[in-house]
Amino acid sequence: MTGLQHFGAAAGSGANDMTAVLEPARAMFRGLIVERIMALEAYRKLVQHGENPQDEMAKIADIAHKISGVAATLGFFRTGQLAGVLDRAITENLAKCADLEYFRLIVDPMLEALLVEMESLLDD
Amino acid sequence: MKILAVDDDPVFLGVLLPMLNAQGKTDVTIARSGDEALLKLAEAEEAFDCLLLDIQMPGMSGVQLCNHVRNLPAYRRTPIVMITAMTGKRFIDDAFAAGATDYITKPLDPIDLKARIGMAERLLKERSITASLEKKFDQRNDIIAIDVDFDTPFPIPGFERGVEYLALENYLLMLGNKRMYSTAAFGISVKNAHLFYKKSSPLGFVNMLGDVASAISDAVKSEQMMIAYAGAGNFVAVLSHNPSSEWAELESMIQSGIEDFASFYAADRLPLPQIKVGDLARTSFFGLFNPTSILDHAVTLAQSRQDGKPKSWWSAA
Repeated sequence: MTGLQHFGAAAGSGANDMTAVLEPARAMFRGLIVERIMALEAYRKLVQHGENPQDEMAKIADIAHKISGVAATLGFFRTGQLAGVLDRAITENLAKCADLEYFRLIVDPMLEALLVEMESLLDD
Repeated sequence: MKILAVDDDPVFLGVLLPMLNAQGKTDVTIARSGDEALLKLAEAEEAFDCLLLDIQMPGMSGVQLCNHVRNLPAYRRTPIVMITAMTGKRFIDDAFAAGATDYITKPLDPIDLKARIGMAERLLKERSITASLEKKFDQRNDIIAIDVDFDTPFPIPGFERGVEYLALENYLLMLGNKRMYSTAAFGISVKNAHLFYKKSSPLGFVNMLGDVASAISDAVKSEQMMIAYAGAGNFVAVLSHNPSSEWAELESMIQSGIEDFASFYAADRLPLPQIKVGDLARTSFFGLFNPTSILDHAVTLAQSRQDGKPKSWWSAA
């Protein structure tokens, strides 16, 4: 059962009705993918160059937070899952975020996985 | 039900609004930031019935916004549901300490959302009764009849340090069983509460609880804990660390605070509240349990405690 079908059943309406109701949000989410990929790539470069890594990682976390908050509900489960993991890795370890090794070994692989997943959505 | 939803993400609002609409909640106003939310609250001709606040927003966070909202007289008791993807204990602690009544995690589950909104509606009904009580309490007029049930928890007027009992239950449910192992609770019982309830007017009973709440606030001012009135003359406190060494003296500190009001009680020919602080209640490692059962256990320990000081925390588990 997809997130939309789940919602349709819970709300007592048909899944197709709910899909239609959430379609504007889904379109908005899709419309932001390219912009968000570009922003994540830009922040990643700034972190790698050591320019205010903590601030730039917070911006990465902010985008991941927004994605993880809605992706699963809109049917993009894996995207939401990857974004949530990245969000938590940064937000719950703020003290480590000035450490470039932490970024290279822990955060960057998570970011790369999210970017690959987001790019795959562009092909759908 | 008039709802204010605050989130900086238009996509999330695009999900939340249709979900609320599908549940028949169509009177929903949105704000994209804490500042905008405060403006909408100030401009509203009729107060909002429920607030849904995202925790992580640029600028003013949802927790800071919640603090501001609780300082607005019209919103001291309004249900506030925090919405966040964060489930870390720090986020949960901060949200409830700021005055949130409930907490819902992203991504939104429609069944969960429906349950939380339903709870907010029930709270709203209860609070219309409480609001009437507070209004009458402010007038300090014994002639006005108020109705207080002895066993039912209700927010004590003026108890700024306190949270609502339901919010305390929601907090423990959010912590879940795993994190309950590092959480402890203790009860503070007014031993002669029922006698007082029978001898006094309902307003006098509320006044007495206000005096006890004030004495508790003074006694625990340096401690990080959440306290609620649990009904039947019992307060309950939850803490996630070991209490300070002064904890064993808590009972005498609270009792001493109440003695300051002794002449008023004597003048009204009412008994002075007698306080018992219970031993620390902790979660058992064995068996399944409901996280909120620790509250009942803490109250039972306070009610059943004999004279003498409560056990030190290292021997109370």
